[in-house]
Amino acid sequence: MRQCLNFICHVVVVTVTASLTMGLFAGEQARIETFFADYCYKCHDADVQKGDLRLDTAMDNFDIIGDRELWLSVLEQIETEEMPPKKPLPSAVEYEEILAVLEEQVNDIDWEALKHPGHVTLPRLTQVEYNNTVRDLLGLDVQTGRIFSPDAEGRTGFTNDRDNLFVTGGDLEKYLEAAEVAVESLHSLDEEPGLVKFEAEDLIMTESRSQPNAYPNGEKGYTLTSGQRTLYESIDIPAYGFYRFKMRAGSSEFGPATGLIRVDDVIVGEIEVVGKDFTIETTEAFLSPGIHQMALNVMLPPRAGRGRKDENLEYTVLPENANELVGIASRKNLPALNLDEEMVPGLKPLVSRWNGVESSVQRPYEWIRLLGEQGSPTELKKFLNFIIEREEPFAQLRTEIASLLGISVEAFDEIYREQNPENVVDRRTLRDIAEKAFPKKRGFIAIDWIEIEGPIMPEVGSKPKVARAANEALSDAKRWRPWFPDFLSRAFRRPLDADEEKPYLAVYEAILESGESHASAASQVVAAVLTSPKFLYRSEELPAEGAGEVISLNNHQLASRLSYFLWNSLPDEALREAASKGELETAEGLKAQVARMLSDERAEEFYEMFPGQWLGYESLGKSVVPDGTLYPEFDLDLSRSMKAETMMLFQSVFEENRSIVDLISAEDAFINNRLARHYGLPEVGMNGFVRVSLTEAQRRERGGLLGMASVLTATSTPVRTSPVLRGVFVMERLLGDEPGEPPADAGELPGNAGARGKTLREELEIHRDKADCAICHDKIDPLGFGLESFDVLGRIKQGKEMPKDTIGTLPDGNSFEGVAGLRDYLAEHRGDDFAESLVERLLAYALGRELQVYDEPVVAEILEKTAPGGYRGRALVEAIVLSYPFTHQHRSPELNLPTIAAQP
Amino acid sequence: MTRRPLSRRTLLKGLGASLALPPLEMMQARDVSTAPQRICSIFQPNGVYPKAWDVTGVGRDFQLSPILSPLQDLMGDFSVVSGLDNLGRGHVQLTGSFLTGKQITHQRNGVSLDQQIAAKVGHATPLSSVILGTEPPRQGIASGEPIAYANTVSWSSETTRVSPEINPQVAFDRLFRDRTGPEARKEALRRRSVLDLVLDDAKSLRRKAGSVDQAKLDEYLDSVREVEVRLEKTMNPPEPEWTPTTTPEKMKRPGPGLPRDKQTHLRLMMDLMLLAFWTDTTRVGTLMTAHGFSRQNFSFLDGVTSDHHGMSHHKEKDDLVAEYTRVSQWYVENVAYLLGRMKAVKEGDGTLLSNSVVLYGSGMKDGNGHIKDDLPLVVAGQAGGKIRTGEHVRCEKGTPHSNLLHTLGQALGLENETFNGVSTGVVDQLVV
Repeated sequence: MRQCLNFICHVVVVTVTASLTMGLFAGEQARIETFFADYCYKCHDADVQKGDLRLDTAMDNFDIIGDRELWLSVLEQIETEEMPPKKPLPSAVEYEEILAVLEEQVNDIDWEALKHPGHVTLPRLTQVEYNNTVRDLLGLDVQTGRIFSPDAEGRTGFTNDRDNLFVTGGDLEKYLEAAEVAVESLHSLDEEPGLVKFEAEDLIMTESRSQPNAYPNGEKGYTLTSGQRTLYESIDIPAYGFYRFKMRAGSSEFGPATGLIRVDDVIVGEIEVVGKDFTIETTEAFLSPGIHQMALNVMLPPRAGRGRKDENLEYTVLPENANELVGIASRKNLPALNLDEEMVPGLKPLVSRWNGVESSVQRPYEWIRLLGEQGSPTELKKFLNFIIEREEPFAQLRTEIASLLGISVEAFDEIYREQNPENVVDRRTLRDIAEKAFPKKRGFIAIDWIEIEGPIMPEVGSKPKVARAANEALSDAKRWRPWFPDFLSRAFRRPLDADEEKPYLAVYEAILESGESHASAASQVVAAVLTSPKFLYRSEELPAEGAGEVISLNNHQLASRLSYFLWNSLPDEALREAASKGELETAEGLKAQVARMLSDERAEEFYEMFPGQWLGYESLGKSVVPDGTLYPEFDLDLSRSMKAETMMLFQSVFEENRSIVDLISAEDAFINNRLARHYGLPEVGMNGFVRVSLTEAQRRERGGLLGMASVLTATSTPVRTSPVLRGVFVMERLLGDEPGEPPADAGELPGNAGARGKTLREELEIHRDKADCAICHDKIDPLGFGLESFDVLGRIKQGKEMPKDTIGTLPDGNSFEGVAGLRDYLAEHRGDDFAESLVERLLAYALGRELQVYDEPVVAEILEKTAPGGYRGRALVEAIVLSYPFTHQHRSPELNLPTIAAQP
Repeated sequence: MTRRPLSRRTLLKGLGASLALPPLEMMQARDVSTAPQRICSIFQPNGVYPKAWDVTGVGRDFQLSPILSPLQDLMGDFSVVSGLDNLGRGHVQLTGSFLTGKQITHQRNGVSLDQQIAAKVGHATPLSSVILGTEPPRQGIASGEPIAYANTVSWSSETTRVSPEINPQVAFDRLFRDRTGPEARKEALRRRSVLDLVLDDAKSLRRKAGSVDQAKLDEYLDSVREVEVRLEKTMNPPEPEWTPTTTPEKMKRPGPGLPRDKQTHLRLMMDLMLLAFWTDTTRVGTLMTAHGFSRQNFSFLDGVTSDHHGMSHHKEKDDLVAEYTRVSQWYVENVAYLLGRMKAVKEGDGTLLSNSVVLYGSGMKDGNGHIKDDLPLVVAGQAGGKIRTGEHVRCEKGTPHSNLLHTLGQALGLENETFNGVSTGVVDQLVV
């Protein structure tokens, strides 16, 4: 039985037209009434109204279309026997009968008669769409729309919900300003770039005790040895445009360093230096004219967790008999490899060597244990280095032993782990302590000078040809004439109506006549175009009255819908051409564009925005932030890496046409070094992201959305994990199964829940005691428990934090253990539900409106078409683009749904 | 002598200050009781050494302390307020609460006193408020909150802090730029032609649209109308409610860059603040004498060798206490300079000082230990007759300092029941 619980029914206008269903016959009505009277009205009538549900009125005004959500829910609750919740319970026969009647009613809809493409409210461009459109139109990624208020998520859960995009009071002034700045930036390309150079030692330093440094070869500068040390000075920028920051710098020690450049307290650039030798690195930024504050800082390495204190740290003082203690502990905690040495010839000496290495390795571990988190970093580093040195023989030994036994190295690791479970975890914990104690692999930036040049044509995000053409048209009246109508047509994303450019050109002439220059007149007209509603809204202008209620969208309208769906921007030349040739009227034409566009790098807009908003992690690092004291390692770098990881899996699924179920159970992953360290996986050999195949051991926790830090961090509170948040995430976002609202008096667990005697699991047991809570939480909590092995940042919990059991048992009897179990359960048993949930969300995202009851068959058809292939990504997008609501628009937003009265 | 054509900048330099003023010769001196109230909040970081700050005697009969001794000549024009407690811990929170009475948590604060007043009276002046400072934000985290947040005491919303302008030339330009002169009118005319075009587009779209879409276009049209109203104001500026009764002196436009000398920098900002009030460019001013977590090097003062933050953690060592005291005294010397200049500006029967209220203090008492109780606070000026000065006002132990914020807010016309929901009353002795 499908669960279509996400459809909202707005019955705005009620007219009785042709009936869309057969209606409810007397006999059936009686049967439902009887059942309700026996088992349901006790709680769901006028007196009690449990859960705000009144089945009596629902029966009186039986409306299978208007109340669709309610009746689907009733059907589901009875089918899964969630309702009635306690005795008296219906007999098997009674269940069968009621289900048969309800199913018939629910499915008895003449979908053909109800066919309706919906109406997308006049779509205003979102802030992102505006910025991208201006970028593609003018060839410069000026992002002048940054001054607009950010768009909030609408009822669809996405920022492109067109009903939720308004233009209020002061907005037009902002649109004007944004347009004017964009135009001025084009003019700046005329100017000869200016250049200013600052020697670091001449800048002002906030830490007045800090002095300039002398470098080899007699140079001078500043080495920024703490995050707080700031070099600053005022800079005078002549015009809107892009400026190149060039810095000569090196790294002081340990490894690469990153310098941060701020203008007016906003980071505009990052400069990375790799080694001690000074190199010249550049970055570009868009700046506004005037005097600004430039500030230079060093980006600090990710900080250690668990509330490290400031410089006034007192280090651990070791006891007198430390050596002795270490010896005793080493012997006590020594792990061992227990293999039947007689089993295979040649095994005995290997095992004996192995155990020998163990004892030499255990000692430095014990030293680290003694020093603890407050140990002197130098000491900790020393012992860590011993460990690294002494563990070297293990690598060779593992391979030899494994090969001797005829098993894989992974299998051998398994055996070792099973024999020494506590030691393995223990050693990892101790290593972490040592590694976090000092900044690893990141250094301090030593700056010699910094130079600013501009305005320049930027190297990143620009289309020089387009920008130059626009710039020339704005400066030269002769170029203006041919350029403007084409520009206007691209801006409005359609061929112009007859003489549509005339009013604009008339204003241009008028301004010229008043004595202003061509440049001034042209600028004002272009600013007007970028402020016009024909630009700011994607008007799917419908032909005049008399052309029917349902309109087939034309080629250009389809091109626009396509490009804003997949690229958040206007159609490119290839798409425009296909539209002009009429190719988008055919399925082949549309499919060809979909395939091309999904593989274009502009589709990253889709791969970032859709999952980020659907799965709720887009706000990570902005409004959703783990507690800074407990989790200082959550910095910009980690936040970006987390999001990129998820984005890349989505990209792979859609671009490579993989099954979307891979989003749950992928065996590969996209990792960079930061994430590798975060997850405890082997580092990847280079900067940036690499696609890795996960080993079976790694797949215990990683692989697919459930093991991704982006999702796991977004489903935690700032201070602790939350099985409820994670359970709701799986249920609501992945399975499309909305849990109800909690009752008004439902409490909330405090921040220290799970740390005050009882485990989180035990604290949540209260959900079982109260029937009102259990109804929803019996479904939610088990899903969350499966993910309790991850901490707030998505790392695997260590030591005592790891819950003793991550088993979840659902009301339907299915149970699973840990994330691997949950993952397998979802992939094997709930794949269809996941696909349905994704298709519903994707359709709403593509359309920019909420789904209505008449979209139900559309979703069903898409699923039917793509199920045989395993719900492949590109196939789904194709199906959506070819669907009725995507290719058509209804003239009116009202539903005009008839109500069905119960027949006598 | 070669003649150089005047660049636009030079034009501003010569005419800017006077362009901002209406033709005074034609103005009659207005009734002084209508002189507007001003509020100026001045923040000193890192606290003070208690024994060197605390005054002796309560009420009208009190003796100045070493740190406050520079205010000798202004006795009667200010009150010292003691016994008020701040909340929070560490430099970021103790700075952020100075004008809000609330503790910054997860980067959220309350709306500050100056911004609340600006919201009420700001419409009457070209700028609703002016926030000036001398140090840029520093990075890093202290007690879980970003150190950058300690660069201001001014918050316009729970999540928006207003950073001070620290460049004197930029501050000057923003305060005294041409708002209704030929440049501004030209810009207004330019926008007018743009508006006409887009209005036509909107109307034509609206004709073809269904009802829901028409509603969206109506939103757009309303927004266009708002811009038209604003342009109208530029083309035909309304009569100002009040004009200064004395001619403000012309101030030379500051040179580019940041002054290297701390005293020059601070005095420049104070001069700008004075002129802003004098010309009624704004009635709400806030001055960060330094960053809330300032490590300013004070070795330019005799006998001082350390940075301000370092000496504030004096651990009762005599030499650091002496430096710490000297620095606080130096700050008060500069405050005395500003108050003196304000007193010298006649406004009818009163002075700019008597029509204003100036709040000076720090978010902590002894920097050694970040003590948050019994804040060092001075209230100067009578706010046009609403505030009583000339006393040492000692508040009951445990009184939140938001009570002072509430008192000052009420004196300037705020009509809230409490201040940010945290004050428990007013400081009666300050109220006339």
